[in-house]
Amino acid sequence: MSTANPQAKLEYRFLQQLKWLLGGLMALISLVGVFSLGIGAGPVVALGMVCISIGLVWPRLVRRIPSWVWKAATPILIILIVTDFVLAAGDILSPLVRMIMLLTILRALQERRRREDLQLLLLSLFLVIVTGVLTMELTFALQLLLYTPVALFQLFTINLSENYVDEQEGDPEHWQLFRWRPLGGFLRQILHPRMLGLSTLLFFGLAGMASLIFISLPRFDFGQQLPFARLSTSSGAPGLSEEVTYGDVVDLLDDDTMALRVDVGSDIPPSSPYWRMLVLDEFTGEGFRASRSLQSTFRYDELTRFSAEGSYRNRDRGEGQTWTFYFEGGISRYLPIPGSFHELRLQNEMTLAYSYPGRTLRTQETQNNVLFYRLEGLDPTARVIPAMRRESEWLQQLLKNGGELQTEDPGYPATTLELPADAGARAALQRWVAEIEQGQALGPNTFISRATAFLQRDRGYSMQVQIPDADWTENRICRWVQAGMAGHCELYAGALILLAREAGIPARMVTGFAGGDWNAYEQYMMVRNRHAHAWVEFFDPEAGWVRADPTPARVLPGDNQQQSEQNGRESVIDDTLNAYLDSLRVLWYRRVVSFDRSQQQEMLKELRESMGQWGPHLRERLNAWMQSVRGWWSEGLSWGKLGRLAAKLAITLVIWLGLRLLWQAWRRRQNNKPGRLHPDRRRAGVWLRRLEAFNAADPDERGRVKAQLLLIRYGDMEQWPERKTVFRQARRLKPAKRSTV
Amino acid sequence: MKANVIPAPRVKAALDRVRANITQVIKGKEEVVERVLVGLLAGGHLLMEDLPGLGKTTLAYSLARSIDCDFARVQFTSDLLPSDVIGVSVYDERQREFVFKRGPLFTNILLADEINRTTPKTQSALLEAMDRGKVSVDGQTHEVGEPFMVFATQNPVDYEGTFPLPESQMDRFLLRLEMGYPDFQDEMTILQRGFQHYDAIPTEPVLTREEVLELQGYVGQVYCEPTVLEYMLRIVTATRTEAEFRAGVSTRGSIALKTAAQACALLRGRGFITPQDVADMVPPVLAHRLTLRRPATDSLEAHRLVEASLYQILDRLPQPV
Repeated sequence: MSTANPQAKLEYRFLQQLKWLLGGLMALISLVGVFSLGIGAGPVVALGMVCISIGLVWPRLVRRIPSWVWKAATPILIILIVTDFVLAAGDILSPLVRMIMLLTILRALQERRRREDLQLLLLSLFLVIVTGVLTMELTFALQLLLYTPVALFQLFTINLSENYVDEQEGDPEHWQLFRWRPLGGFLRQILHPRMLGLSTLLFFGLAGMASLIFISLPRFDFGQQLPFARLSTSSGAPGLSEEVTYGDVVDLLDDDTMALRVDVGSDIPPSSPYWRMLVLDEFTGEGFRASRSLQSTFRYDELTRFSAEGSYRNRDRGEGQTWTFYFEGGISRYLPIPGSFHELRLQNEMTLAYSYPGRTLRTQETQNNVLFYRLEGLDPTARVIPAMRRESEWLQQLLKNGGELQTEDPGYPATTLELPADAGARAALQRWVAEIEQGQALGPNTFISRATAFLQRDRGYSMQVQIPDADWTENRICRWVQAGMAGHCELYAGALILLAREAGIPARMVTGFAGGDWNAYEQYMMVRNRHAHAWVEFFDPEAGWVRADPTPARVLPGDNQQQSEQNGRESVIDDTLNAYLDSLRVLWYRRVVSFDRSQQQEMLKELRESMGQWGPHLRERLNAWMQSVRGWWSEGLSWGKLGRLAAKLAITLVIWLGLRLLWQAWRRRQNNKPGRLHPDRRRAGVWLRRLEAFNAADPDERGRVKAQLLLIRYGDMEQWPERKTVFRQARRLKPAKRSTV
Repeated sequence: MKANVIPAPRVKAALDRVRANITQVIKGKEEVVERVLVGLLAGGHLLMEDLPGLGKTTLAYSLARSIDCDFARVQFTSDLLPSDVIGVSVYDERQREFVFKRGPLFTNILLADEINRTTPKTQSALLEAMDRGKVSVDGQTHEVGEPFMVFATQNPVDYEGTFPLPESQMDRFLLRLEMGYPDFQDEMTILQRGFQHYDAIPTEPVLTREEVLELQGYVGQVYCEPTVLEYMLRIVTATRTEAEFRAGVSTRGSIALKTAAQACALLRGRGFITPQDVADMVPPVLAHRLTLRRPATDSLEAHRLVEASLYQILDRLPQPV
């Protein structure tokens, strides 16, 4: 039966059901975050979530589970947790999260009393915070948005159920009476459109206030303040580590997951982005690796900003561009750098190492969560990396000696001239170099161009390469060149390096990413793992290390166009749904996670400027209007003018009356709906409730007003007094003065 | 068209006079007096269940005197015949025909003392008169007095040799009341006044019969707002689903509740019912219409248990505001 806004009676069983529902919801919300942690608990979490959902829908099923199951669950859980900690051998975070996760699932499934409800609240809160801080994902924001009202409501419900001390908690009858339909009926009864409206308003008000506080508070990074935020590390992807064997980089090409997002500070996609990460100088026979001496050039330091001094350009802050990088965790400890830059800024202080010869940056360990950094004074188009003075001198000296290595373990930069020891391979290389040079003495640039053309002749791009065996050499690159077959970036780059070195040109392999997709929604670069690439840097004594990419064009899966190798890997505009979803994540990174002091100041500045613009604009409009009124008046009155004025007034009046009639008709229709309480009756009810606890200065007046209000609320409409007067009198009732004793 | 306006203040003033008159005699029983007046206004009959000697007869008599009505008292015993109450047709030698000789029933206020001591046959004869307001003897219908109100009394403790009223007959009483012991101060006043027979206590009429009938006519016009009616119905429905009761309240019971609430509102000077009027009338109107599943030691305890359950229902069901 529909009742007109009655005060529905809150029964204990409804509180029980609400607690069960809210507890389950809290557990589900908190468990979602565990998926993105990558601690190998996915199947358990999924199973737990399914069980919790079933328990939520059919709570009586939970009751049917025999009590010995719950009794046995605790020791089993303890054994599992202890074993997990022991097996984790020093890693505290993963078993800790798994422990909390298991306890949350157990508590969410068990019959709960007040203590267990509070435990579940704490456990799920811990899960939400830990997973959120570790991943800094957009899901964290959604989790918080959902979790907070549910948890507050749960606390409120637990508090309310305190009033039912005489009710037996966990009484079997409550479980037998456990049906969602009566609860739904009760909720329908108490939910009033006005209450819903007010709640929505309150929610958005609170969200608005929270946003204001977020924007105006001094910045701090809670992720770094919590000890467990530093605990988690990952090994990173092969192919982007210090040693690359054939196929490592190619293996990444099937991986479409996001590796890097870059805010380039403009709406135009950059034309030829090569994201340098690693320099591999030493030839191992099976591939290339960063030689020990090159690795030893990394110097670690705790810093929040890093300035590449020395030969780098764009020292002046006014030059170059500013790009912000959101580098996904678990990819590599080497940071992608697209060219020369003046300064690198980090959001928080962290340990970072820079190698001047390689011009590469790396962290101590591969980060597990997204790393934010900003490059200022960046020149992303630079093809040339200036060599260090000592490096340059050394290499030139080396070249004067005919490129012959003097020692067994030459070290960097001599490693950039290292060739295979295999005689067959050497002979083949010499033959090919002779073919490229054709008896001419070529400069490094010309040689590289010709060698690239030589390699690309009659070949194409292929990711599946079956290099045929040969008896004259074990060297895979030479066998591949000899076979004249299609290949991938590692083979092309490796071959070009060996040819260059054979011709006496120092060369090294660089791995990282090339190209990327341009997000059409939020205007930023999306670099995925499939953009992983290997290319060459050769030494030009007059310039430095010059980039050369011998890999021919290929069609990447998901790309709309063939990429042109000669002009760098072009950005592809992505306006798919995936790109839109990804843009939401970037918004989260940009506006929330990496919202730092400079952005705060910028926003305040913009606000001040826009406020400053509004004032004069408004004044201008007002002046213009005043002038037109003055002009109208000074022109003098005429019948035409008066007629026009009267017509305007009449139209306004008609519109106003029409709207009023419509409003009244709508009100009447609403009020005449069966079971609907007349608004004045409802209002009188509200006033009667207020008067219940109102200590009026004049009790007689209060009695009179109350009688009138009772008549409006419960009396015959035909005998209603003047309602506005009664409500006004109710409003004007004065409270009694408080006793000062 | 404007509805007939009830002169609620005038009604209240008149009934206040009656109330004042009765409370001069019956000390410290304002609530009982109010309920008696509700019964009078609603044109219902009262079942007074309490120990002897607590002022039930005095109350009925002082009411009759206050409204200038006839009063009769019948002591119900096991050998009382229906004709002793209703009357009997006797042969008139002079007129040579049977003439109906009216019994004590033909009055305005009838005190049926210890109604459960008489046989069911006599009980039903009285109850038929209560229900219809008229009696049929030898094919002739005779109207009882107007207004007509029965005060039936029962001793709730002493059950020996009694014929308890069946549930269907209990349903005919609008209200069930208990006098209860007077408090210390009131009893002191009674004692100081000295013993007087109930009919020796001086009570002046403050209303006429016609006025009483007029006031009774207003009760049906008292307005009942739909949410209040829903509230009333929810209470009645709750008695039907309550596990404590053997059976819920009948439709006659819900009509009685509405009538009593209307009379209560009028007594309080209003032309409309508030939820509080309904709540106040629930125990006296519904308690005697309900029987418990579990046994009780005596009628008083049974009624107390029923009332406790009713108060729980009232507590559970929110009043519409």
